[in-house]
Amino acid sequence: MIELLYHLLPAFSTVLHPTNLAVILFGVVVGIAMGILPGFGAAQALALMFPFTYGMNVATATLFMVAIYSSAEYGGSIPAILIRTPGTTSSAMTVLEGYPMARKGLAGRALRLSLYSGVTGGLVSTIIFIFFATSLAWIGLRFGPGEMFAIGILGLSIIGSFVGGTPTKGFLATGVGLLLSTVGSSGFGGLRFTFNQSYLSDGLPLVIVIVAFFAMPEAFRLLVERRGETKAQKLAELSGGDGRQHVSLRDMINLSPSLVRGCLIGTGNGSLPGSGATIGSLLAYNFEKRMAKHPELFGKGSEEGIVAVESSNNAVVAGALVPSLALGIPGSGAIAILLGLLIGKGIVPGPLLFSQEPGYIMIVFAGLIACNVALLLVGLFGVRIFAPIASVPPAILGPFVFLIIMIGAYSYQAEMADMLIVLVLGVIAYFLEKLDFPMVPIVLAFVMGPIIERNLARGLAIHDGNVGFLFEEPITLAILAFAIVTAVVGFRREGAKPIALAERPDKALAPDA
Amino acid sequence: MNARPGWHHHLRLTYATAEAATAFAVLLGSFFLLELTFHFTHATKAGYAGAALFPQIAIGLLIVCSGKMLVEYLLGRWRGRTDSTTEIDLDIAGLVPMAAIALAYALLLEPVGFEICTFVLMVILLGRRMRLVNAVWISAAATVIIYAVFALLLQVDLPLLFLPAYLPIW
Repeated sequence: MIELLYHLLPAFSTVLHPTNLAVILFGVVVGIAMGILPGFGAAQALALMFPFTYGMNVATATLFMVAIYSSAEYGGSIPAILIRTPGTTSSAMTVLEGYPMARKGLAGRALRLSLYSGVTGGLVSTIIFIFFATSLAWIGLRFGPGEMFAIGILGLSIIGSFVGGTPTKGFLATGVGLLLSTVGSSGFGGLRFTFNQSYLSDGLPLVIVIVAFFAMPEAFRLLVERRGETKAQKLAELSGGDGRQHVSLRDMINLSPSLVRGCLIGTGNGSLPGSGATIGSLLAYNFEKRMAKHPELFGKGSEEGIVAVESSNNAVVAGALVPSLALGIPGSGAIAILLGLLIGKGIVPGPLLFSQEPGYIMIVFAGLIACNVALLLVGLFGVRIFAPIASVPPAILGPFVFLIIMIGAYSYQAEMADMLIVLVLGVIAYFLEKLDFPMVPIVLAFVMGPIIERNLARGLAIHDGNVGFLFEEPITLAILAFAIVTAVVGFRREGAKPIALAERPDKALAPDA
Repeated sequence: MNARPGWHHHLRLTYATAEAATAFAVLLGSFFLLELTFHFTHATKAGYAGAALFPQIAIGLLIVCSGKMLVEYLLGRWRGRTDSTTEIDLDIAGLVPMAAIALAYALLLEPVGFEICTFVLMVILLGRRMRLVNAVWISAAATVIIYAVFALLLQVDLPLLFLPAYLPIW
């Protein structure tokens, strides 16, 4: 930890370099704009913007991605408040309180509350991130292959159980991701599932898988679906012309209990693999409602509700970085993209990263702070400019999104095959999404598959082929037991819905970033 | 959603039937891939991980999940549980042309060139929803902007025809 602090000043110096500041600002603008677009979450925004990082160094590329991630979560709340259309799934809870406020002529106040709480959530979770991640990395250094295998299984168990409509679909999606991760050279000699295609011998590129499962279904939806094209969306008034729009420091102090609860729930939730901002915002909203002195005001424009949800949404960003950088286990779909970026640039996420690349860790830390400051500035002055983006018709947006995806896929290694893979997987993803199969487990399992396989193989080799090594260490046993309990709880949840196959599952827990 | 399930302009299925069909397809695919894994490189010693171990674990997960979905579907039908109230619109008629256009773009980008392919793609996609004149100039602008961003700014190696002659890559 002390060693990390030595790198704090150089890290801020890197972040404040004019090029990096410009990249952060651009990332914030792009993130807000994409967050505003209905259907585009942080993961889709990152997937779409991934090709722009090819020419950047690792620090600049990380700052760009973190800026997009942080600001997309905020951007989603703008249309949620103004036109009752959440830009991201995690902003769905913002609609419940933000839109009633807008109807009362308090849209400006709702937007400011959303911005201030989002920025506070981002900053608080950044502080938690640096302490928590450092401790977790220290523990992670003492982990052997058995523990790492068990953590991977726990991650898959959480993702499969709680991301998506039902655990069956969640685990099926997890299986698809694991299987896709085995394509190519096996590491044990020979190739797997390449079907004599030399292109597949190095495996499916993570970038291509991410774009195919996160961005392509959205592009098809925009191109194919015709709903709501002609209906012009009326933006709610941004100001009521009186002092009620202003949010003072005293207002924020009065709301600080809700703010703290949202920050803690968001950070904790973000650090669980795969849970993402949607579940965090749902938990924060429900918890806040239970804690509220006037729960009857919820649903009618409760400021506590907005503050809790928005601080939780943005706190997820730094929270999700904790297991991702400390253990190499992605905390969310969006963070899986960041991991893909790091691996592509030769940086291996995991416990050793903290001792081998402390400068990089502090750049992430300083970058998160800078991104939140930039978000505050852009949010304060840019809401009026950004808001109309929500009413761009899908028919206009779709072709541009589609073109960027295709050129982005081609750009990765100038291979036509990459575009074909994106297309095939994208069509499959489009149909799977129609049936409420979650995409996040596919991508996360794709990232975690090689980690789990490598540690299982290492453990078996060290213990002379005896699988009993998984049951020798108490910590390994405890993690595996927790994984089993998680899956059992997930399936019991499914069992509580006896008509799961006959009715569409509750979309409140739809996959997100 | 009052129309009966089946082929119209769109493929409409009941939600449960679509789920069961997907589960069946996954199950079939899983068994096919499982058979392939028996030809992978074997472990050097008994008990060690070979190339097939992990794929077989993943396929096992797929078989269990898709099998569970199928069994639940069949049990539901056997018990006479109706699922006619919920339909899913797969919009095949909308997706197939889009996928075909995308496929053509992917296949023709290298032989035909970025400029022509991109311009034609955008005219086709935008022309369906706006006046052709507008679609043409927006497509031309989009082609130049994408070239500027990817080829000039990001130095991506695109299969270019003539744009570098007018806007040279530095």
